[in-house]
Amino acid sequence: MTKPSELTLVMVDDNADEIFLTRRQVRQDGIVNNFVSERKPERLIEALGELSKAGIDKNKVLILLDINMPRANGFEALGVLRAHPQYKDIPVIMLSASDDEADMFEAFDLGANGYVVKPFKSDEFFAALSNIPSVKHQLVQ
Amino acid sequence: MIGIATNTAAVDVVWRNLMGAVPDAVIVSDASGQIVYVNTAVTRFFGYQPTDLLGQPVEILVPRTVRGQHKSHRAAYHSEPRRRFMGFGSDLRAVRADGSEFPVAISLGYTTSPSGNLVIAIVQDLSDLRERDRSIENLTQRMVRDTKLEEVNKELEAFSFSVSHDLRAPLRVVDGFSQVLKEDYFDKLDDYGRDCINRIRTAAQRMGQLIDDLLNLSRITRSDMVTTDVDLSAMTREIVEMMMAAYPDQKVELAIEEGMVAHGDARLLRIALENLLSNAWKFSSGQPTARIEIGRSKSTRGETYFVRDNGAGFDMAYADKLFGAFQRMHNAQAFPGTGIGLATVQRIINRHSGRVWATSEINKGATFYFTLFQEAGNGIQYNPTG
Repeated sequence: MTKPSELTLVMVDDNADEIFLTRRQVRQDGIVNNFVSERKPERLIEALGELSKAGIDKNKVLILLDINMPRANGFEALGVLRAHPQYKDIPVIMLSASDDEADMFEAFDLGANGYVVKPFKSDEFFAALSNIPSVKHQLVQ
Repeated sequence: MIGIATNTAAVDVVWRNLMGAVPDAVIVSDASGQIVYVNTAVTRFFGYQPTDLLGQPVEILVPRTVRGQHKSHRAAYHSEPRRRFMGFGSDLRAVRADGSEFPVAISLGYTTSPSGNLVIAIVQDLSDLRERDRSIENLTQRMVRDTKLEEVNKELEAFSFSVSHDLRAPLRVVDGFSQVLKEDYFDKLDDYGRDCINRIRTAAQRMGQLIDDLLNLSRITRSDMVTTDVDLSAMTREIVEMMMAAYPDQKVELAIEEGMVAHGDARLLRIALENLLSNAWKFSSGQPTARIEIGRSKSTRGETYFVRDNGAGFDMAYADKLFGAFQRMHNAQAFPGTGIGLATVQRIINRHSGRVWATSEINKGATFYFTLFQEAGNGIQYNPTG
């Protein structure tokens, strides 16, 4: 992990402190440099559209999606994404304070590509990324 | 009296009074199956007057559906007479004069008389068992009540689970931002400021540990039990190997009893043993040679397992606090820990309907005892989980 990848990480979390700390952590540990945050899960598709407009390749986008959020929770947002014609293939890592197996199974059933329990260590996050074939080759080791 | 000789009138009177006082129905029949004597209880039980029954085949008292069967049983009994108990419960029924049936228990006896062989049947009316049914019903109601209590406990458990869970998020902020301060501003702070940050971080991490402990404790109560035969001796050896690898410098003399096999949930019992053994290790670490013994003692009420050490021990005055969550008997400098270990052990043993207790003397070691699935000495015992 000497050089950050070209990926753009979109973090969806209602908690501004979590966003701040995660942004700092992934940059500090050189996992990704491009970090976008969205605090409303129901706005996920809109946020991805804005990224496309800004010229960011959707194949280089990775979503970090919190599960427990008010209104649409992470599972619902994941369902919407996986049904979307344009963005359905974007890799998603679910982020949760719960290490409950049931939550993990549900996440993978709904099409998540990874699951990390917060607070996470950078090597745990990196391991989750490495498990996603379309992401692995974009990681700089 | 038909067919039974009496020596004197006095004996006859005593005998009649006696038979009248017997609470069960007494029916005497001869070799051909004809009723030759009935006592007064028969009238109460069957609704017949004695004169209605005398000379009748005994099958008159047997439900129509099994009369044929009864005749052949009777013939077989006469060819090989002996004292026997015919049965108990709903399988054996008798029929009253009005045709209604009732559950009975019947004992048979056999005697000879000048007029031939006689069979004496003593019939107990089991309808009174309804009384007992009612007490069973009461017990059932109590169990339902306790089940409700168990549900409330589970809700409470779920509540504590979700609260501890929700505490993690703000704690993460305290921990995360104090780390930011430490990383970005440490050189701008004087010693006092640095000390403050270090204290915040230490406390935040300790709180994180406490929350994790609480969540794990709550999982132990919430998880489903899968019971099998568990080789506690083998399990102990495995844990002991782990402990020796983790604390290579501690000299420990071990005695593990062989062949301790118990019925229980292997995963939970392992957690309980790990806690007890790791305590034994921890609290005997001050001894030049720690002595740790794992064994069992047998009594009429089952097996009691124990884990004994020669370590720091505890004051028996506080024995009742020993198994409470976050209760600690020693200060954190001498023996680190959050105080969740024995609370965990107790929950696991409770889930196995067992008991756990300890004896100790300060600086002379401690012995922790536990039982599993122990039956109570009287009546039905059951321990709701939680």
